[in-house]
Formats: sequence, structure tokens, C-alpha cells
Amino acid sequence: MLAYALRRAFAGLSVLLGITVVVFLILRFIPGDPATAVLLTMVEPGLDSAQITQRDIADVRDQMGLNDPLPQQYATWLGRVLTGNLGTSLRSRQPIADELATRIPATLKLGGAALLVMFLIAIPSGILGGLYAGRSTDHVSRVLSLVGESMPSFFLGVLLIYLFAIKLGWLPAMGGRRPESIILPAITLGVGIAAATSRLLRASLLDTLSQPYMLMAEAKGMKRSTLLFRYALRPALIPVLTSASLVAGGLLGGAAVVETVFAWPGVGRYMIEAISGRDYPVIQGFTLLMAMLFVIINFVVDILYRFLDPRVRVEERGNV
Amino acid sequence: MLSVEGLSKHYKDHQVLTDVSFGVGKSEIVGLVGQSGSGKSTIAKCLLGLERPGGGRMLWHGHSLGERAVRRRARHDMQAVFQDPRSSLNPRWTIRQLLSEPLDNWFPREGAAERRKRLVRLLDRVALTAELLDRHPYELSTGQCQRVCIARALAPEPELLVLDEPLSALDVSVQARLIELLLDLHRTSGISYLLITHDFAVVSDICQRIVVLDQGRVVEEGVVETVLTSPSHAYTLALLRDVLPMPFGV
Amino acid sequence: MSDRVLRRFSGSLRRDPVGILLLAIVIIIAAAVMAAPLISSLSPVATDFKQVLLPPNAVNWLGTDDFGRDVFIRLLYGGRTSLMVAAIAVVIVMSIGVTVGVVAGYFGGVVDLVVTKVIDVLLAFPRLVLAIAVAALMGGGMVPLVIAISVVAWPAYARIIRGFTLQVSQEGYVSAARCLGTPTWRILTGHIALNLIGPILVLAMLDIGNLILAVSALSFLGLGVPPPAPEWGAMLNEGRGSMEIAPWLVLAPGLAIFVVVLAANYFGDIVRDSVEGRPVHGPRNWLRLPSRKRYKSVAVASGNSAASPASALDLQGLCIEVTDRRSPFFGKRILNDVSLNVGRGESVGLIGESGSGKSTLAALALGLTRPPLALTAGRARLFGQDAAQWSWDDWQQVRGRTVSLVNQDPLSALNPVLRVGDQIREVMLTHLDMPRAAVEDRLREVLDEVHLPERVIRQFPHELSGGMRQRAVIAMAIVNKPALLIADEPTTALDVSTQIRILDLLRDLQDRYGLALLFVSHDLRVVARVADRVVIMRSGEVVESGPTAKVFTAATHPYTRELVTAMPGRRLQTVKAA
Repeated sequence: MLAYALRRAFAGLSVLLGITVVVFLILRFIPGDPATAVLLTMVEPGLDSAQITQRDIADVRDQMGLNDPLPQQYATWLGRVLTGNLGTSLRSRQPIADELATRIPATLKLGGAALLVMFLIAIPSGILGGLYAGRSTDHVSRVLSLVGESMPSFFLGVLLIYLFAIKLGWLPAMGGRRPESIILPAITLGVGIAAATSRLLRASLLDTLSQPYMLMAEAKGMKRSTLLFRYALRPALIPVLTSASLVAGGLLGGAAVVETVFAWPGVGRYMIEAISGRDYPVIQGFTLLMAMLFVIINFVVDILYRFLDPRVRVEERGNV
Repeated sequence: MLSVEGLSKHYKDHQVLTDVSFGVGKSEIVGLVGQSGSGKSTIAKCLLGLERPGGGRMLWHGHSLGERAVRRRARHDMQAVFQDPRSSLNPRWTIRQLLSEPLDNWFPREGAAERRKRLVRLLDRVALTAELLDRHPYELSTGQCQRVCIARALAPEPELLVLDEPLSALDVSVQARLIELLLDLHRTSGISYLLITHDFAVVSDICQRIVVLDQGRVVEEGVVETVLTSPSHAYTLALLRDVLPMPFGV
Repeated sequence: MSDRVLRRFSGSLRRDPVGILLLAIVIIIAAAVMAAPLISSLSPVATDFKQVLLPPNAVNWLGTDDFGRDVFIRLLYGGRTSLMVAAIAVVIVMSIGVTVGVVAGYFGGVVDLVVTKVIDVLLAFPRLVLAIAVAALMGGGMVPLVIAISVVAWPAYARIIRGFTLQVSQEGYVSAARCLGTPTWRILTGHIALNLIGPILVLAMLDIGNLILAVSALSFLGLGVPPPAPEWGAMLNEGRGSMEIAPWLVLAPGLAIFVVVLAANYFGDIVRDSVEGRPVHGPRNWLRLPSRKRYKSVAVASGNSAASPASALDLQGLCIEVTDRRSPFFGKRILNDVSLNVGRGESVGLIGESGSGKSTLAALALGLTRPPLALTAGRARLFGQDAAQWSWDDWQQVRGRTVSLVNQDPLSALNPVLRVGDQIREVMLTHLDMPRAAVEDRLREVLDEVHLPERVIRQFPHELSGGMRQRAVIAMAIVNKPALLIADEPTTALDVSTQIRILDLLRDLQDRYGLALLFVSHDLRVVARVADRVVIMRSGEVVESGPTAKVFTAATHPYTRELVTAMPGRRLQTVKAA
């Protein structure tokens, strides 16, 4: 088990290294010269590129290390990142790592709440759909999934605000100060990912139901409850768990959109604000943070999966 | 005709084949017998160029199959029939297309009438009718599919057929008819077979020589009668003892 | 595409009014978007501050926005951008994904290694986050939007298509083609690509909706075409401020996105079902069966009352038919007028080739006949009781207690996530009121009887060899000392030497417990080793039955004679005898 965890951790680290390369290179893709772009943002608004002198640009280039060869630039940058230094925000002039750190709890809280919403919707709908495949319960569940996955999250968010905040006045529309203000964003984020999970659970349940061991369990005279929980659901939930990376990707990506709609004080909104301010280092830092979170979540899921599914344990041992 | 000398192969640190040597002569039927995991299918894949051997030599008429020119010749001279006839036939093609594949490869300049005659003759050799030409594999029974596979393998007019468990997926009565067919083809055309199977009963009915394989090693090789009556290796003896007897001496 | 797929596609569409409605809506939207300049002469960008925030009216069908621009015409022009970006992205993503996936999958080696690593890294970013970052850093606009979506979406396709390619390359027909000397390019196009079209089409159809959603999310965040040019996501964002007084500003673009994506997803489903084929029935499902108990004491009555003279299993004139109208085999008789009798302590062999109905018969003896099949005529008695009328709960008490099953594939017969010991224990705990200690004692005893070591109690099915798994299945079947054991091809999946040992074990247990045994197999030699009496079946009918020796040596029916002569190994026999 430990050996496996170490091997997965090593694989995860190599992916992380790849991520840093991609994130580093993305910044080089900015059309035009990075130094000019930085100068335009830093200098008082109202100036245009005509008023920036070649000497200014050369100075900034020098400061940013843009004159060094690319691998050396990457090494310097990586060295800073490894010590937790993500650079300074061009607008606020604060360290980006600190700014992200103060906002990440709000995002995690929203993600957790959305996960709860997802489970409340997806688990019952997936189970009912699978057990009553081809009947009206299943059709309802399938239609709901279809609607859920076709609904743009920003549209759903705006609709919820209109209905519950503006028309009914039950819940706050914006911000994150009051405890109940998490309800609407969590529903918005949760519904989007619930559809995929519900479909997957349905398919996985249909698969276990048609396995020969199901028939064998019935031939052993097992009771309904045993058949349902020990034989059908338990194996069926394993693939749902492995899809957690899909869910996590949806959550982390969707957070930026939903936080913008509800003015939720998390990292996603921070990043969207940075876009309009052309605050490139912030965009870079945010992307890196999200990818790292994603890799860590996948690592944990991987380990959990091994723990839950005895088949993988054996296969691993066979391959070593 | 075919000789395998000291063939070995391993996946990572798992040794699949160790120093395997045997040969197949002209018009000879050789059985390669082993339980699951004995490496018998790996030998077939190496012979057919579907996998690279780890060590040793495979000679075709005295020339190494490792050379491109020899392999190209063997692609024509050596054909194969596999266990699962359904997966061996591309489900989207008709029988005509399936049988034309080797003909396109080896007789590309044939006219339409000539081609049609050749297709009918091929089907006739495996006792199928020309009506099947425009059907798809899923419209045929498993036994018929295996006959199509045999016809396709015969199309280039090979000298050797490698038969990898060709009967295992079939019902007993269908099996018996296919064994008849294979023996008939051998009598009329003098083609050689390398029959790979787990079933001693089938081997003893068809083959002239037997090679017994256990965990990637040849433990016994010899003429059928000798191996069956006085096996020299304990493993062969154990295998023979486990073959279910013919009930009531029928 | 093959005819079968097209037929299934048009068939399912014809039976589906919602699908037709969605198709119609999408066609209308697409046509309107294309023909925007013809439909209205209004400009999508011209502002008019005298007409701001007008509600829907005769001129402005969907009202106006806070710059006095017509919402309807902006919706049409906006659709052009949204749908065009999505369409271009699909084409780019599919081309890259298919090429990279097929090349990596078929050729393997270093190419595959590098490609897989790149894909791994790109997939380690949450999809939308990377898209936002790329679009943001490139400064927004149509081209960056397409690039952002493509960069993010291709790796998932490449990975899936690489998997498909690997799978198809393993197919027998690809090996066969290589053996036939077919050139590589022919294999790639004729075999691999041809068989990938279905899955690729499904993949593309299922993902178009996602791509449209991603495009509009980016434009909602201000990363699409720069204003004032219209775009659905951006329009929704602009409309948010005036939502309270002018909800149509949000509703119009939101519904447009929703309907188009809904239709795309819906068609994705239909296409997938047409390509993959969907079974008419869900899997067998005990939840749907009537639940009430009809007979209180079924298990007790039929159990071990050895005094009763009735046969263990007595079937008279039994017919089983496909009774579900939706099934393509509706009306087909699987069993036709079958009579069969298994006496107490007797061992009966049931011989038949595939399609003979022998497994259907075995399932019937356990009350496992399920839709689309149903018993339409005849009598089925278990230990003298009329079992045809039993409900699911009646059967539940009998199965595993009085009648039990050993089937063909021991690996799939065991629950992969439960330990072997637990799977045997639960048979006792469900049926018998036993103290914990007695359960443990019996567990060890039964493992000893089937010659399994005690360590398997803590092991999972995957940790056992094929022979050991089948022994575990037998242990589950006999642990409650049943009176009738149904063995359905119990040795077919096993090696020859394991096969003979399992057969001897079954015979031994049958003697020891006085079990009645119904042994189902296609292999005459296997049956001969265990059965006192044999029954030969073909196409759902019994053709011959009698004592084993008599049937084998003096068969009366030509089919039986054919089966007997078809047994391979005649020469082996004579050689061995000599």
C-alpha cells in the first residue's frame, strides 16, 4: 500500500512538473512583448504605448529577467514558485500567494457545499434510474440529468437570483457575508456536476445488476436488501468514486463562473477581476493553484480507490 | 519446412517461453499442447510476426524469419486461424470483402470473372455455398464463421496453417465436422498444420506429432502413438491421466 | 455507417416526439441564424437611446436592451458567433484528437509514451480553468476563443481514441489482416478507422453540447468577441444589470443556449443508443416482482422431509416462451413440452449444445425465469409442491437452503468486493438461525469438504485460482446441506486437470449428502463421469433420455448418435487401451 502510494506520488510529481512548464509557457504566448504589457498596466492609466520609452522597456525586461535564455528563466521562476513566491499582483502590489490564501477558504467552502448538493441530487436519481431502468422513474431521472447538463451554470445562477432573491426575496443574491448566501451558488454549482454523476451511477448500477454474481446471489437465496446494498450498490459506487476527478474538474472550473455571478469572495472571482485588469501574474498563479489542487485531489482519489476495490490491489501485486 | 530453435520470450520479469525448439515438416500435422498459461499462444504470435521473439531463431525453409524478405514470403506461405471466429472477422465487411482481402493482397491483377470463380472455389473447399458472399458475419452461425476464416486463410494457397485453438468456441457436433474438413483439406492439398490446443483428445484425433508445453518449456516431443502410450515426462503423464475417458468404450 | 445503425437511428427518432420537436427547433434556430440579414434589416449594433429597455413588441419581438438595440436581431447575430466557434472547435478538436489518438494507439513505443505524458499534463488542469487562462492571456476575441477551447478539449479525445484504437488493434480481425499480408495503411483505414467511426461519432455528438457551454461561459466572462458585437454568453452578462426591470434580456440568450445544448445532448444520446444498441429490457430485477409470500412454510415443507416420496424436481410438459412484445424474439418457444424428473439422491445429466434451452431449464428449477421469458404451460414440482405459483419471497426461502446453484464462470459468480468467507457465511446467516460459533464451525467444515485452505476466508475472489474459485462457489452451494443441486456447466471454464477434480468432488459430495444433482453440460464425457441418467436436449425439446450407459452405447435418436460419435479422442482411447 505504502509502496503504491509512493509510486503514485512520484507520478503525481512528474505531472506537477509538467504543469509548471505549461503555466510558465502560457505567459510567453501573450501577443506582444510582456514587458510592454506590464508597463502599460503599471503606469498611470491614460498613457499609451507611444509614451513608453525604449529605455523603460529595457529596464523592465532586465528586471523581469526576460533577457535570459528560456530554460534559465524557467529555472529562476520555478525556484521562486517552490518557495511559495508566486510574484506580485500588478494592481494591488501585494504578494499573489497571500491574496490567493485569503480567498481560497471561501472557494473550498463553496465547493464542499456544491458537493453536498450534488450528492443529494445524483445519488437518489442515479439509483432510481438504474433500478427502474426503462420505466417512468428512469425516464424522469434521465430527463432531469439531460436538463441539468444542458443548463449553462451562469444562466441557472441568474435565474435563481431572479426568482429567490429579487421576486421572492428569500435569499441574498450576492456576496458571502451571511451564512445563507451560500445556498444559491452551491445549488448552481452542484446541479451542473450532478447530472454527469447521476448518469454514471445509473450506468454503473445497470452494469452490476447484469453481472452473473447478481444471479448467483439470488440463487443463494439472498434477501432483497442484501441484493440491493451488498451486491448491486457496493460495486456500483466504485466507478462513481473514480469519476471524482471529473467532478473536481467541474467544481474548480465552474467556481470561476459561479463566483462571478454571485460575487462570491473566492479565488475564481479574484482571477476574473484580474483578467479585466490584465494582471497576468495573478492569472498565472491562479491557474497553477487550481491545477495543483486538482492533482492532489486525483492523488487522494487514486489511493481511496485502491483501498475500496480489492481487484485493483491484486492487479497491482501481480504487476510488480 | 518450419523450425524453431531455442525460442524465448519474457514480459517484464515474467518468463513466458524458455528455449522452445520444434519443427514442422512438409505435409505434416503437429500438435502443440499445453494448459492455459503455458505460452502456446505466444509461440503462435511470434511465428506469425505479431510479436517479437525475445531470443532464439525461427527458420522458414532454412532462412531466418527475422529477415524482412523471408517474413514477406512467410506472410504468404504461412496463414492462421484463431480461436474466436466472430472477432476474427471484421463485423462491417461482407463475406465477399472478407475473402477478397487476401486476394487483393496476393492476386491484385485478377479480373472480375476470375475473382468470382476463385471466391466460389474457396467457399466450396470449406463446404459453404456462394449465396453467403453478400452476407455479414453476424448473419452466419459460429461454425460457418470459422469456415469463412479457414477459407480466408486458404486464399493465398499457403503451405502451413497455424491453428490457434480453432475448435474451442464451437459445439461438439460442429467441432467434429470441422475436424473432418481439416483432415479432408490435408488429404487433398497436402497442407501442413500446426494445431495449438489444450485438448489432448482433439490432438490425438488429428496430429501426427505432438509437442507438449509446460510453463513455457517443451517437456516432450514425439510421434503421437509414442507420446500417448509411453510418455517420457511426468507432466505429460499427469495431463494424459486427467483426460476424461471415453465413456462405456463407445 | 452501417444500415443497422441508420435503421435504429431513424427508428428511435420516429418513436420520439420530443426528439422531433427538438430537431425542428434546432433546424429553425440554425436557419434563422444563417439568414439573419434576410429576416430583419435592423442592425445588431446600432444604438438608439430613445428606445432603451422596451418590452417585447411588434417591432422588437424580444424587446430592446439598455442601449436600445433590438434583442432578437442581436440574438441571431450572436448565434452566428457562438455556434460557429463551437463548430470550428469541434472540427479542430476531432482532427487533432483522432490523428494523435490513432497514431499513438497503433504504433505505440516512444511516440505513445510522449503523447501520453503530454495528455496527462494537459488533463491535470481543470478544463475550464485552463481555457479561461489561455483565452485571458491571449486577450479575448474569436480566434483566441477557438484556440482556448481546442487546446483544452483535444487531450480528452486523444486519450479516448487512443484507448479505442488499442482495443480495436487487439481484435482478431486486425491480427488476421496482418497475417494475411494486408499493408499497414489498409489496416488503419479499412479495419481500425472503419470500426472507430461509431465511437468517434458518439463522442463528438455527446461533447458538442459541452463545447457550446464552454464557449458561452468564456464569452459570459468577457473573453469572447469584444463588444459591441453580440454573443449569447456576453448578452446574458450585459443583461444581468437590468434583470429586475427587463428579464427578457437574460431569458432570451439563456434559453437559446439551453435549447441548443439540450438538443445536442439529446441527439448525442440517440446516436449513442443507435451505434451501441440498447437492450430492450433492463437487467433481471427482483424489485419488480410481486413481493408477498403466498405459502408460509415452503422451505420447511420441502426441506429435509425425507419421508415424503416425491421427486426432488418433477417437470411435466413444460413450455417457456418469449412473452414480451417488445422483444424481437416475441413468441419464440425456448422450451417446448419438456418433461424431466430428478429423484431424491439421483444424479441426472442434461446434455445439449448452445441454444438447446438447457440453461433456461436450469434457471427454472431455481425460480429464476425472468422476462422476457415466462412459463406458459406445464407443471413444475419441487419436492411434491407446485412451484409454478411461488412468489419471489417463497423462492427466496428455498434458494440456497433446499435448492442451490453452481454455474459456469466461477470468477463472475463471486462478488468481487466481498471476502470469500463473508460470501459463504451470509448463506448460512440468511437461511438458518445459527449461533455465531456454529456458523464459524460449519464454515471451516465446508471448506475442508471442498478441499480449500482456511486462508481463503479472508481472501477476495481475485486472489484465488480458477479451480479454487469454483470450489468456493461449491462451498456456498452446499453449506446449508441442500437437497437439490443444479450445476450449470460447472467445469467448462476450467483447465483439464482442474475439471476432473471438480467433477470427482461433486460426485463425492453427492454421495455424502444424498444430494439430488441436475448436471447441465455440453460435454458428454463430463456428464458420463457424474450422471446416473442422462437427458439429451435439442432446440428446446427432449430428444432422448435414459440410463447413461444405455444412451451412450445404444442411442435410439440419430442426434444422440451424432453427439456420441462427435466426441473427439477416439484414437487416444484406443492407444491408451493398447
